[in-house]
Amino acid sequence: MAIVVTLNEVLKQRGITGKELCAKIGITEANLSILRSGKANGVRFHTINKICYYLDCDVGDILHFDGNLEEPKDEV
Amino acid sequence: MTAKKAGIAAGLLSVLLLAAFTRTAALEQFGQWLRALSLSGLTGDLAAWGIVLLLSALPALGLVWRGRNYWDWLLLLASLQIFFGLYFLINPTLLNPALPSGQIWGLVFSAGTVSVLLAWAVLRGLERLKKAPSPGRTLSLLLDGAGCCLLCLTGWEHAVTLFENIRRTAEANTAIPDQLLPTDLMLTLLTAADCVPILLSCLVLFQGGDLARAMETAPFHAETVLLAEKLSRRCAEIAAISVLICVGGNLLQMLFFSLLHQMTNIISFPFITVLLSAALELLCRYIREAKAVSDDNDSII
Repeated sequence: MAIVVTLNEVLKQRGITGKELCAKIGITEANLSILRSGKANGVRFHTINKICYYLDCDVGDILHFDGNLEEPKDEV
Repeated sequence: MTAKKAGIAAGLLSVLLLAAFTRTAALEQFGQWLRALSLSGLTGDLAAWGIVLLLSALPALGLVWRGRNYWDWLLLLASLQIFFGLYFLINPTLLNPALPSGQIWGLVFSAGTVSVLLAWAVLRGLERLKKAPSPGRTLSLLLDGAGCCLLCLTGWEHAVTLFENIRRTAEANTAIPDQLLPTDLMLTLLTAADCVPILLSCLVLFQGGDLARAMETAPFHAETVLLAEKLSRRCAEIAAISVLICVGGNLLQMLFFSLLHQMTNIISFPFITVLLSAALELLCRYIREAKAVSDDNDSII
């Protein structure tokens, strides 16, 4: 995945559990798990907005670009 | 009551109302009864006028009560039609004396009034359709009602046409009554065969109602796609059966040409059924693509 999710590190730094974050931003733990593992097809701006707000961080703190181009696996 | 039952009940009610309105003999009798009442004295005359005015005012009351749109003015037209219709039913001698006025006027009157009231109902229904809270349920009601109407009306029309054809053949061939059996059998067979695609079309309309309900509740469910696929296949089958029945009917009449005293040769192309089949196939594809889009959307967190 060309976009690397570094949410785990930010959660550790802030001392917040995944369960607490789910309760605050209103997503399921299963979806947070998909997001943390980097297997999500996409993340809504609204979700990123809430994560950054509650973790008091920037978008760049939770998402990183590794410099590679990755083609989508299956187009709808 | 389920939506399906409500649709079927609405269809049956429409057929019954239409049948009641087109009973011109009953209208003629009603006109004669009003005439007798009117001629019975001053009280009878006033009563007859009261009945005529009351019946004429019924549609116009709807205009006063709820009239807001341009099509509601059709109710006024219906009122005028009922007034003049009843007036000439009571006084048939004021019409063309060369014609059996009572019967013909009854038909003209009922057809005119029913067409105006139906036009009003259709225009009003179309407007309400736009604001329907659940379009799938409305569509399923319409499809079930249409299936029921089609079933009753075509069954009735085919039976009447068959008996009329048998009667005409017998009248036109009085010298050879014993030789008419093959013709009568062929006419019955052709009528029965002609009914098969119509009966299947009714089934398609009922299944269409099920599909509309499924699309309302679970538009991207696998069962909905299956229903649409099944319906598309059924349409294609009906189209095939229609053309094969047409071919069979024409061939049979060619084979028994020398025995028949009346023939009905038809060249049939089930245009609507073929179009419906193609449209449903397209709908299946759209449902599948929409399901893929929905799944993809669900995978975005």
